[in-house]
Amino acid sequence: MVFNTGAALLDAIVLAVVSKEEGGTYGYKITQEVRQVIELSESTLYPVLRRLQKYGFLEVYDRECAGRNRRYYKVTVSGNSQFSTYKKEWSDYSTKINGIFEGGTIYE
Amino acid sequence: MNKEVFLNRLESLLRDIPEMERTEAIAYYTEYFEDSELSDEAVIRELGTPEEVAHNIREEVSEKEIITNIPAAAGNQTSQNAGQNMGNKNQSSESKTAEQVKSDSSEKTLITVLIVIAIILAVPIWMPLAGTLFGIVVGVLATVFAIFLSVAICAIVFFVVGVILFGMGIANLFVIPLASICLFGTSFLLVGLSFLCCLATIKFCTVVFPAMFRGIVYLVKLPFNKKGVQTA
Repeated sequence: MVFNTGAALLDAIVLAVVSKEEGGTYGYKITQEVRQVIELSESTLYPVLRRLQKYGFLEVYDRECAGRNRRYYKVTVSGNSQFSTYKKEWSDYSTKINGIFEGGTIYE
Repeated sequence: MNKEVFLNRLESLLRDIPEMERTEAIAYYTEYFEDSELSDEAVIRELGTPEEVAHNIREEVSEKEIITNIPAAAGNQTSQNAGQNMGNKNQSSESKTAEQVKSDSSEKTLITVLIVIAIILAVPIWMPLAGTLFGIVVGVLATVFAIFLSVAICAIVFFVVGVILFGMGIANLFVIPLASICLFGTSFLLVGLSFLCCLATIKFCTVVFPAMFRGIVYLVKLPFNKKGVQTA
């Protein structure tokens, strides 16, 4: 891909991926799903998860799985509202970009 | 490189971040290896070197990054909600992070204070050294100025004496011609020397003094320059 994914967009994508799963999901799976949408080195994702956790947008819990503990990530209520903000921002942004790409009018 | 080597290397690279952050990161990547269906080698190929992984974690952990990256939408309200929404266990782990961040910054202040104390305690060592250096600089300056002054005085004196001897030569020209010629010669010699001294004085004013001033300014600026480079 020729476009860079900034920190906010990456946060939004991760929130989207995690919020898809009702009961939360785990690091490896999140990484693989994010990588289906954007190119990203696998080691970039842990810091993002940690950051979202610090902001209180994600919460973690451990679940027993195949004889060992697995850390699950789940979107919090504030994480959800943050995701809505991101979705709205993205929609505004992409509408504007699409508008100018298609040669239409730019509306403010 | 296998999983153990990778994780050990990562752990040692993260030695300087808060212990809790390190444990979390190591746990995450241990789990990552276990969750992946690929071989350890393939996972490592995907992850990159431990150095790269550590770099990414470190960037996230640094306080500065956390503060500047908080999205505008995540205001006070969000953080309040966050506190309510998080499970007890998670909440306690979050507050622990904050404490650790705090202790990190207080550690920095402690180091600064220790450095200041060390500087104060070392007064008996650096004070005489600084004094000596200052004395040498002042001494050199005084010497150079004394030389300048004496050369300037010489120029004046040589000229005046030369003129007087010339006058005496004229007065004696018809009385004792030989002595008069001798006086003329001496007079010319002195005037010539006076001109030379004049030239030297001018050189002092145009070359030596400006160079010295530049040197002093450079010396005075030196400690500040160094500091500027370090903080930049």
